Amino acid sequence: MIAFDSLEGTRLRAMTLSRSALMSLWFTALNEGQESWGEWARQVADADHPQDAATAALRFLQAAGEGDARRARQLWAVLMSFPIDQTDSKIIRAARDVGRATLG
Amino acid sequence: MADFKEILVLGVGRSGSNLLCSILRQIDGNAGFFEIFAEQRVEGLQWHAEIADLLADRLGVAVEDASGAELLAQRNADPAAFFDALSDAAASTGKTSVSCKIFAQQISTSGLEKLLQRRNLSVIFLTRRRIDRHISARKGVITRSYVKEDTTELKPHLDLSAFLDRSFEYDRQLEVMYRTVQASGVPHAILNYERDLDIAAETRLDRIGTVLDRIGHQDRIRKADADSWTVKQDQNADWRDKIDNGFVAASALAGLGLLDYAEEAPLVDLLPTPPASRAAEVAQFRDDDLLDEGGYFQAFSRDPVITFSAIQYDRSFLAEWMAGPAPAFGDRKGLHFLKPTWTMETSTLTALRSAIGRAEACNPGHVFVPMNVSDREAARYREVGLRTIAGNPNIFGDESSWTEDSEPHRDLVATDALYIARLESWKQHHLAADLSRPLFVYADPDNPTARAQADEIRRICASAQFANHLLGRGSYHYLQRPELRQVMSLARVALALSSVEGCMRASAECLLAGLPIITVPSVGGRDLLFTPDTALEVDPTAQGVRAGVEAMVARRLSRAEVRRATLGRLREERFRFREAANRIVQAHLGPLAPTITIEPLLDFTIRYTTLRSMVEGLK
Repeated sequence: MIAFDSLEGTRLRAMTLSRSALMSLWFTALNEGQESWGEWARQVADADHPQDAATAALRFLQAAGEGDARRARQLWAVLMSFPIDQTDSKIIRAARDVGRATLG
Repeated sequence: MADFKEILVLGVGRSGSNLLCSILRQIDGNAGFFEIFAEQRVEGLQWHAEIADLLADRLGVAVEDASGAELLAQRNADPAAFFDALSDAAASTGKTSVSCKIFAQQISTSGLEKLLQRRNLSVIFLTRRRIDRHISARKGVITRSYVKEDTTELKPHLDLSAFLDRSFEYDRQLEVMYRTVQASGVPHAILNYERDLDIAAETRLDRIGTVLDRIGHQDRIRKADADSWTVKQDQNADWRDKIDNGFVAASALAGLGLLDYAEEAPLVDLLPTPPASRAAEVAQFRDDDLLDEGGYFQAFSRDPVITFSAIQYDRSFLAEWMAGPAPAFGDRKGLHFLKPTWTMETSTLTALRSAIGRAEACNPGHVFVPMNVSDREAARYREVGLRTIAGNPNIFGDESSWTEDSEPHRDLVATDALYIARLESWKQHHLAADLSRPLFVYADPDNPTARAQADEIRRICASAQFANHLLGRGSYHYLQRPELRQVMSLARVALALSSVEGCMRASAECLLAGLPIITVPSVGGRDLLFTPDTALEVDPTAQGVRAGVEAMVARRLSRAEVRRATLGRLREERFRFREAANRIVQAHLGPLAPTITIEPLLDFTIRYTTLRSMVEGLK
């Protein structure tokens, strides 16, 4: 991804990203290890979409990626409260696969 | 007429809706229309002369063609009445169903809500990959042709900023529509242009048939061929080949982390939630005895009606009372925030969900929004189809009532640890047994259980000080706030020893009074204002609590430091709540709705009153 503080990055953040765009950007940032972008997306999602399934999925993926097992278990329980088998969302499917592989 | 079906195709333009609507026209007995709310005409009416004549009669206008000014004026003045007349006219000609499409910008949320109240209505959302939809729209603008032209050779330049702006906006519009449909309980399904329509006709027939089954439309569709007048706009499979800057645009989108986003369709990551109780029975009478129930009730706004009230014993007395044969507050809209008084993580939520379902069914335009204090609570609510916002009642504590500067009470001896808690077994006073002279403040132990609990505490902790009885010289003495602040000033830490309860208001009050907290693991939300410096979680054992008190005392925090840290957390949490509450207020009540502020709500969680007094205030 482009640098967080680049002109384009700053301009993008000044736009009001839709929920889907924000989640997609966060997912990309997690996959690419872009901490600044990931942290920014997490903060916006926590504030604007705290109860969204994708937010729960991404927070779970982040905790699992950081090796925070306790937090990951908590977030997995949250994610399991959504009907996660009824989705084509690649974000939720990724979280589902990681969760089932590591937490059952 | 009872079996007459109505199908709405909802989406945004350039998603393949002409193809879908032309296929739906091929259902036997279906009166198939296109954009009935298009700016300049009722698309499709021109092919249904008999229906047009009947529609003219019902609306009392002259319908010479589908774009008559009088017809469009009537339609725009009352879209729901127009749809009703159109559907009725179609049924009168012997048709068994009607289908049409409506784009997001063509109908307001309230207009859509009206349509969704119709019996036998179902909805198909149609989506398409964002980048392909946008390029298709660009080509349509350039050629001024949307259905009849193959524009494969035309390769416009993609303005990335414009693409993102439009896509973000369409995402928002579609999600509002989707949530509105979801909340209505109307059967609905999603078709995707690439996955379900832009494929071989035989497979397409299967996909559309499956969706029609899912939304309860039993009539079989026999073929799914495109009408002869619909032409595939672009033969290129890859969007990069449809524009003149495909490589640059794809690279830029990847750099922004939005390439996947561009290549996905909207709504794909929205998960279904259980349908709202649309079929809830309207109550035959209103139970006014409920007005005498006491609790925490606060009227925030009269019109629109905005209230804050408590969930007590898994019940909302307000919701139960609002279920009646006529709307409780006339034609005013309303939003009702529900505050927990005990953790909802362990509740089945059955009674609450049922009461809310009935209240919302009996009071169109009113919604209930429980406040959750944890992700787990939010998840529990979600499981039963209730929408919540994050909100912990401790944010309503009044920091001016609880300060760190009171003189220590003269009639009691200073101590390390204070515990403000009812004498109930679940408060786990026994965990303070290893402390020296723990100071207990409590409600009047006016029942045998509480008195037995006091005896048990005396037995296991001989040095325990029972503040209310010491100050009452053997009788129970109620501590008013100024005196309680003086008692707080005697201690160096406060205890929170239950493993399950509500948000434990006393813990927040002690923090504001400058006492750091020793807590055991718990559910219920009392950790909202804790910081690593001002709270220490210990093992739920007497030894653990004693070690925790010693460790916290050794930190030598000043009361001002503890209060300052607590106020910092309080400000953060209030900001979060206000933002969330006002978003939901604006979404439901519109931009002119009152703004939720904290000041009128301060201390309301201890102002006990009757439901009647709040309802009277709203008249």
